[in-house]
Amino acid sequence: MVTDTGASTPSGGGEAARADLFPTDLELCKLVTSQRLALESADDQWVTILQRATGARAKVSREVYDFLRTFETPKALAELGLGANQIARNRTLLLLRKGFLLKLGEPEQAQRSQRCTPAPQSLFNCPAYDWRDDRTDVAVLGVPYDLGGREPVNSRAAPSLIRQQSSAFGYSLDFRTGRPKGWHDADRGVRILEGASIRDCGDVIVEYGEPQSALFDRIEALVGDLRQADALPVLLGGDQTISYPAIRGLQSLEDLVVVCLSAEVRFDHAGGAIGAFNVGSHIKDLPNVKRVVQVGARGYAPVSDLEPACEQVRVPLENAPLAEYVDSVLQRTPEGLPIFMVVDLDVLDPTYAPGRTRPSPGGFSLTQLKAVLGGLGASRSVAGLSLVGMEPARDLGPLSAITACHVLLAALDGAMAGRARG
Amino acid sequence: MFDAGAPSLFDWPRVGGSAEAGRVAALGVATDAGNGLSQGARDGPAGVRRASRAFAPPRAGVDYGDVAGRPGEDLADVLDGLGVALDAILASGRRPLIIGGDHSLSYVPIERIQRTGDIVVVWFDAHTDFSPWRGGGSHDHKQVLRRVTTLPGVRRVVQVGYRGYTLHDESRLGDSVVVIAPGSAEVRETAESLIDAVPLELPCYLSVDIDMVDPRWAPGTSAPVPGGVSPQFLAALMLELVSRRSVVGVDLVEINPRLDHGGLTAHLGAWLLWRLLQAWPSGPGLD
Repeated sequence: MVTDTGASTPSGGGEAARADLFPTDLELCKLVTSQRLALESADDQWVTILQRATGARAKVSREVYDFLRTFETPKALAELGLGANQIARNRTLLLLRKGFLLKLGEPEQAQRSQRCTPAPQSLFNCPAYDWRDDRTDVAVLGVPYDLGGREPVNSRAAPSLIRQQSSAFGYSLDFRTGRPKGWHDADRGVRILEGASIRDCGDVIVEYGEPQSALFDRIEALVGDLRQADALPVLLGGDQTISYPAIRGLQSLEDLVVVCLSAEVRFDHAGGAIGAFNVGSHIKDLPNVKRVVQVGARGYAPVSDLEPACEQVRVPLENAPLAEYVDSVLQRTPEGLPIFMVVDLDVLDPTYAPGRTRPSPGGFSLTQLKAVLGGLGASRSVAGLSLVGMEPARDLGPLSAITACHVLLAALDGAMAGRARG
Repeated sequence: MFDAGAPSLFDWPRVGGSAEAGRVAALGVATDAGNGLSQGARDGPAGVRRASRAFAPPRAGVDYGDVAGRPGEDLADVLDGLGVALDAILASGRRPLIIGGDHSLSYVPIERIQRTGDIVVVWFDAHTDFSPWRGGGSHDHKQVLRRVTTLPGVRRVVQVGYRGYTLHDESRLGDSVVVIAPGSAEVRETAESLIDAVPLELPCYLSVDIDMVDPRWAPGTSAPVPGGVSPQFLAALMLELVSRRSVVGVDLVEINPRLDHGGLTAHLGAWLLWRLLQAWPSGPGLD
């Protein structure tokens, strides 16, 4: 937010520097207040103004606000005798830049459609992502979309439920160094995510009634922008389809391998809408997705009889040596290509999330899952991550959301290790 | 105080009745005013007593009923009431077996017992409960272990069960505190670490927070942490401790029937007490 007392500029730029930027003849130009303004708050000294079309917002002094209001009928600075007044010139530039003031005859700024909306509570209480100029290692995006799922389990509520439980973890920076502190992993006795900056982009806007393709294009564009900003996109679902637009966006920039940690990935015919039954086929059909690997297959028929549509690694046995199991996963995941990790909570044994619609017994233990997430991150470069599989309508309490937080931290820890390497 | 018609733990006779054999005194603490996360642990004693009817009484004992808080009553006053009930139990020569309630209550039995001699406190919990405490007359369930370490007669604290992701490294809590994070260790290894950390010559107080058990088996608690131990693991540790060291009192806290799934956690609590009472009290140094 910009604050401006009218006397000095917050950015510290000198009056002289400002003067150079003031276009010639602007003092002769009639200016008019925008019709698209709203007041968010006002007290004796300060006023917060919102430009509703663009979302531009500024907290200004009462003096600046009064100055703005003089242009409700079009006037030029010269008419007010302020053509050479430095304060008036500075204020004018500020208000023009924000779109609060317009040159007479200039059209109002177009309504910029918002792509995402800030979450009331951010993941781990981390700062909100500033789309204009923020540099972050991890960028979290909520995708509260569940129309592609097979059952009405209300997974649109999952991003906010996860954020709610995540506040117990408290992202913070070291006071002296400004470096993110990360967290202490009590089981391994090591620090994780130290130095990894995290931001929350909020939730992508889901317009009910719009075509699925419009939402998916929006997600793809957001993920592409995050990738361009060199951030690791982390999506909180939503249903199993939300990973598809993220993968589509990332694979348009580079070849990818998709690793799905899930009890089941469906590969029904990829026609029409993308849903839980055919999302596997859609992902596999993307031109630069070089391989899809499912980790966590279970069930009682021998895998070879079913001619799996993708590489499958079955769940480990309860006492299987972890290092060997992680190796078997890595052997099926080609080296040298970045991976997109889809983490579906149903990969865990159903006892971790009681109340599931379709429990699939014999799943991973948390220890086994953490080992795989760590192993993948240590040996592969992670281009993106999604976390799906919560069923809020079936949940018996906050346990799924709490488990999701632990899984997310383990996945981020693995992914950051990969990024550190390359 | 007793709810007429309410079951007693393992069908034990109530204090003040005619049949009062038994060296163990059960006492419920029906308050959750020290728990900032969730209400419901106040129903823990009732839930565990009800579940205990599934088991044949493991030994003779006496049920002293519940200490309960009235709505709005200060936690410090409720805990004072607990202190009074404990004085009666200790005066009778019986060993206290306390059912919570939230973990803030454990300060009281420890404070009473350490008056007569130095002790070791063994704390089974997913959390270290070592949040900053600024002094004064009260504390909550997250600060209680830190306050316990301020007691002059508490020579050492052994915390077992710390896990998950925390902002700070909570494995180093000062010279008088040993923290054992089981991770995915085998029970034998954790038991040996526990026994090694508890000096043979000092009596112990054992405080068990049910959330040490993985939420798959103990969902009914206010702060579940994934990645916990199995019920068998916890029972084995408890039995190892009572058989190889002198345990003078036990509590079992943070069972929250309101958050439970089908009474699972209350039943687990009853089972743990049933297993414990098959072996305790007995062991070196006790009659």
